[in-house]
Amino acid sequence: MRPTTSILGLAAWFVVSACMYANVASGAEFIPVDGAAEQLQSRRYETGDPKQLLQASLAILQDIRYLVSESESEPGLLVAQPSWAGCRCTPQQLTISIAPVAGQTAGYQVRLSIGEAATNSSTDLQSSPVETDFYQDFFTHLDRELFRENQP
Amino acid sequence: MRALLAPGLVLLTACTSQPVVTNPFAKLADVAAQRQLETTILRDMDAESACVHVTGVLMDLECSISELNSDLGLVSATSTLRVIEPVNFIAASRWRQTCLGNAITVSVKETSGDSVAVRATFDHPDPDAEQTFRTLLRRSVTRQMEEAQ
Repeated sequence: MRPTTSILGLAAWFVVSACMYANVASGAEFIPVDGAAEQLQSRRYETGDPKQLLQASLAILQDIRYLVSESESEPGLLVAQPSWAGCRCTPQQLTISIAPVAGQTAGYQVRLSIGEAATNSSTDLQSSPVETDFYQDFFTHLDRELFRENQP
Repeated sequence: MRALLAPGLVLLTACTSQPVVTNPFAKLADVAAQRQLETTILRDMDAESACVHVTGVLMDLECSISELNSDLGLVSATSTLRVIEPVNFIAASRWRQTCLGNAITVSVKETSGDSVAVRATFDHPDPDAEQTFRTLLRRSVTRQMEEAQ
């Protein structure tokens, strides 16, 4: 191998590493969540049983093969990761929280947040169609699950 | 010139290409049928006792348990395999091999009529691993019943 090729190869490797690091690092920047994003991430359910919401959420996490790493029944919390390590093509962490709606005796808010975005850049966190679809699909499945559970 | 081409292409690909972003919900097919395959019904049992059985089976499968919430009915674990095999395990070595490397989430839910539904999902869906889990779970319950008599 000629020295020029080796040097060029090494230089390319450094630049590639730097590019990859930049992609990873950009996802860790803090972007404050605005009202629209919160609305996208949340749904209210009229139920007196938050455990039912947690169990339904858990069933959905199992459907999409996420591994639950943390859970709390009071207050309701589930944290899950995709168990197929190395694939950065899906949300890397999901957090589901369940909290009572202020002023309602039988109302709970389910909120889903994606820890590390499914996109390369955190700047498109609120505009990524994949993320929007993800939130919508999650709540569609949650609605279905709750409907199924309430069937006699 | 040719020497420049390969690193140049690598560089261009790495800096411009975006990973293909997928939505895991898009891949879901018949959820109800899949759930049925993954679920074992245990009769005359409550969720807490079922969690104890599930934990025992996962430990027999050499899994390291990462989360246990018996109130919610949840056990998460990852299967590893030790070099030195402990003695007196119910799970044969080949069974432990089938689950090797899997991340397993088990949910336990009380159903009507003093029964619980135990659903185990593996991150690498494998009929052998799922069958192993079900077999060991039933054995664990049977063994406890025999000991109680």
